[in-house]
Amino acid sequence: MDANQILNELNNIFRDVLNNKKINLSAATTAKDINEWDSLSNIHLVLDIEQHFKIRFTTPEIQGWKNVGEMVSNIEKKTNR
Amino acid sequence: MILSVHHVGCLVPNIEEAIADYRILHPSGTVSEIFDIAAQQVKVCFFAIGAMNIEFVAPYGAETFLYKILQKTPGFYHIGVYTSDIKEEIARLEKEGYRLINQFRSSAFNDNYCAFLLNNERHMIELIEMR
Repeated sequence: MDANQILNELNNIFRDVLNNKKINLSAATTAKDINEWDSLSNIHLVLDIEQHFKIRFTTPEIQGWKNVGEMVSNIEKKTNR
Repeated sequence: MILSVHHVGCLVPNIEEAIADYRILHPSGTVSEIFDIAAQQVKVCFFAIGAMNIEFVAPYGAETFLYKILQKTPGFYHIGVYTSDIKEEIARLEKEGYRLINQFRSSAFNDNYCAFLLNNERHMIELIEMR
């Protein structure tokens, strides 16, 4: 699975979890760009992403993402193992 | 180490209305002051029935995720427990699969540290440090 596919699937997950159909993620998107993306929704997103991609993140990984691009890169590494 | 259960958290749109509703259940239940937890964008108060507290939580940040949860499914959503060492308890729960949501000082608990965690089944726990 490549980065674009992952980004598209992430976009659907974000829209669903945050109940906001106007979300359009890019690699540069951060939590500051999406009002509903706070500490609580972040963990709900993590759980949905893990379930969707059948992967598991560590706490340092989750805390280390600076933007969606880093999240995508993390997913890409785990799904292509 | 978890010492005891302090409360169950209940999402409500309006604290005063929730108090009035629960007075029907228990007319002599005691009510705490209302605390504004700015870090969480919520107002909370405790309604005590005997040794049990219900924490009414009213989110006021319309853009917060908690506010969206309230709009979809108001009601009971977390359990608050006392711990003697919050750092140690967070580490223990993370090893058991819980995810740390946030950690903050809460005016509802004399500015002691509190932390919310969520497990894979989306059960939420609030740790309240009480040394």
